[in-house]
Amino acid sequence: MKNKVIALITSLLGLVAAVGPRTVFAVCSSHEMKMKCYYTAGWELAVGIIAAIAGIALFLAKDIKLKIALSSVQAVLGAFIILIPTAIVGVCSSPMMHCVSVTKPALIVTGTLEIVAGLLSLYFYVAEISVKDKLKVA
Amino acid sequence: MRIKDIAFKKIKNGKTGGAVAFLFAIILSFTVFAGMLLASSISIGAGNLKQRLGADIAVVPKGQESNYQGIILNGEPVECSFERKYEGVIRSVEGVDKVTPVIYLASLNASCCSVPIQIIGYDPKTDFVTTPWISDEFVDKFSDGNLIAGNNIAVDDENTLTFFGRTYEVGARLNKTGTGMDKSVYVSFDVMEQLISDAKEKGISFGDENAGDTASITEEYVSAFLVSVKEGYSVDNVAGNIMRQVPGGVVQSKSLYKTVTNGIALISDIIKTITYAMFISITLVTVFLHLYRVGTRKKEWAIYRMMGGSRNWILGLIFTETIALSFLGAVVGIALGALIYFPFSNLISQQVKLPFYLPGITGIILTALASIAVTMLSGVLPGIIAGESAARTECYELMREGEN
Amino acid sequence: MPVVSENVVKEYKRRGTSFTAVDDVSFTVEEGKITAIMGRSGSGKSTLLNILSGMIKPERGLVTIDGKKIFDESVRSRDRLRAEKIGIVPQTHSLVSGLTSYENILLQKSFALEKKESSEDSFSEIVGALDLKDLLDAYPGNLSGGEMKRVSIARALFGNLKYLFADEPTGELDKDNSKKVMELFRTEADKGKGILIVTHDKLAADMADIVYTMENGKLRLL
Repeated sequence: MKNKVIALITSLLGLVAAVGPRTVFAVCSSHEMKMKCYYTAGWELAVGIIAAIAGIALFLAKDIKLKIALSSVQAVLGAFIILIPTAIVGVCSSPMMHCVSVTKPALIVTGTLEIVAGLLSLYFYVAEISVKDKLKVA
Repeated sequence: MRIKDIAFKKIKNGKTGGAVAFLFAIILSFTVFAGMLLASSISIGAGNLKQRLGADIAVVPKGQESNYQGIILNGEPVECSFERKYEGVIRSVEGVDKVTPVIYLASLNASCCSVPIQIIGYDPKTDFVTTPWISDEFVDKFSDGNLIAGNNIAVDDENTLTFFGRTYEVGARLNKTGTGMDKSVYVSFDVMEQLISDAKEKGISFGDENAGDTASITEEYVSAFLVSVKEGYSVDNVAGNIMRQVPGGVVQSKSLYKTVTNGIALISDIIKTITYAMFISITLVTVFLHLYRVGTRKKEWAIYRMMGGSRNWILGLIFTETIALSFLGAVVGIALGALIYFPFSNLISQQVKLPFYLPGITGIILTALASIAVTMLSGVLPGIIAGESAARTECYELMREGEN
Repeated sequence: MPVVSENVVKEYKRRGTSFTAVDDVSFTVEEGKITAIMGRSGSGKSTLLNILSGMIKPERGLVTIDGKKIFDESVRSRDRLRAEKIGIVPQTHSLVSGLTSYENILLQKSFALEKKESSEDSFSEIVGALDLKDLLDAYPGNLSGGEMKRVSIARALFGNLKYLFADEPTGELDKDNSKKVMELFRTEADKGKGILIVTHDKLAADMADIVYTMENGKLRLL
């Protein structure tokens, strides 16, 4: 039960990362020119959608090895959610810009939670597999 | 199996019934940690401000007093003009030690930023406020350009900034202060003359519209005078004298600083009240939560009693579980607090509108330890009460079910 | 020294009326022997077991263990008695959730102050005899009723205590496992342990040295 909840959470976080930079924690407007944060929003959309789908897949999957793989994927995607605005693409340089004070931190939080959720899911499934192996001998 | 082995195993496997109590511990720890960080951030910012104020008195055009405050605290750009001829008058007031004029100009959207920023001009011949902060220890020097940028100002790749259509090279950047200085750009008067001239072409006028030769506009108009008072003279008296002789407003640094300390005191009081209220209410709630979870495990207490576990032993087990849950909740609360506070510190400082500077690693660690201590303390009373309740279970609770 | 009960009486109040669960019971649990009490459910045999282990106080009568009148002592003292001298297997499931079978078995020893040497060998002996080797890492939630009962028996035995009181030790066990349990009890009794079982399983009672029956609170030697 708790694993299913975690799976849904990872999916939800993916959605937040995908949609957030264009809505609730939007990047700077790109009317005059496309700045770095515009591209960050684009990449986050892609990564976020993948995470959202992976989360649904994790929820529905039956094979435990697949679940372990998907959990790892979510943790890695979480890392990307953080790295896109901080290292890979970046955002505007001035701390007074909206993308710096709101978008970037929001993505850091989302990404961190995604990593935690992915790792928790991974831990639970690996524990399950090792208990099953021990009892199999019985 | 010692008490702590049993307690940790049960917590690890989620068999203590303590999930909700754990959640409340997280909430308490989060509140205490974030609250304490906020209080120290604004306190450190205020300390920085005090250091940088420099002048005892600022003489500004009448009505511009609160705007001046805005520049110093938040870097909210302002433009005002004052006839420079009053410099001599001020200098002659008894008790005045040093006087230096400054010019405030607001940029249009500069190339760096989505918002207008404050440009502050200083007179290199008389300045005693700005130049101390441009000395090497406070500055990252990177070229011979003639602008000094505050810490929050982002420069272009070629170390330039563009104002009113002209590009200037940035010579250095000030270290972060957590005050309005971070959002300002500093230039000497000769550069300021160029800026004023370019601004005029963009339709922004400085000084009297009828002012003639803009090449030396700074000879006629400035924005404010910064004054330091001689040792032994009362700042209030000197300020009063200045006000009598000059048609302007007067802002004392100490009242500026007082505004800040009042703001801090207000926020600190709010934080303290919230923290105390949370501590008391969460402690009370967790008493009931732990009593409840202990009540659902009556059979387990009977098992221990059956094996010879004394009442004190059971009390010890419950107490250990309770404190352990508090500790774990505290750690998670701190992690969540850090996750929100540090990435969003920029936004928080903008909302708080007070000088704001994050504590160093030692301060953060001490704050974390304090949060853990407070949260664990809130588990002590519930642990004892719940433990006493469990210890009173009679062992035939276990057997009676068999009878029926 | 044996466990002696003299004229023990225990009454309960149920819906206003008084009801005698244990009616003037006197008998002895000898060391080195298996004593069985048979009877239907509700005959009072479980209550008697609880009284003998000091968990319930009788209205009248004496219980003496190793020369001490246990109900003259404090509650703390009776707790210590169970920790040091009496291993108990209750009728209902009594494993602690969140701990594995292995950890549950270790639990009994945690309460004894004097650490008797129960070596690796005696652990493997008990675990082997009760066929628990493959269940050591399992949690109670994953065990059947019979498996849980066997773990409780192992727990009570691992403490190497002087006495063992077992309430329906073969309840929920199949014939094979019941036999294994009683054989293990026989081995332990031969080593000097005083074993009291309460049961309605005739096969178990057949392996006892002394058998009583209990009906309506009264004990009778068979």
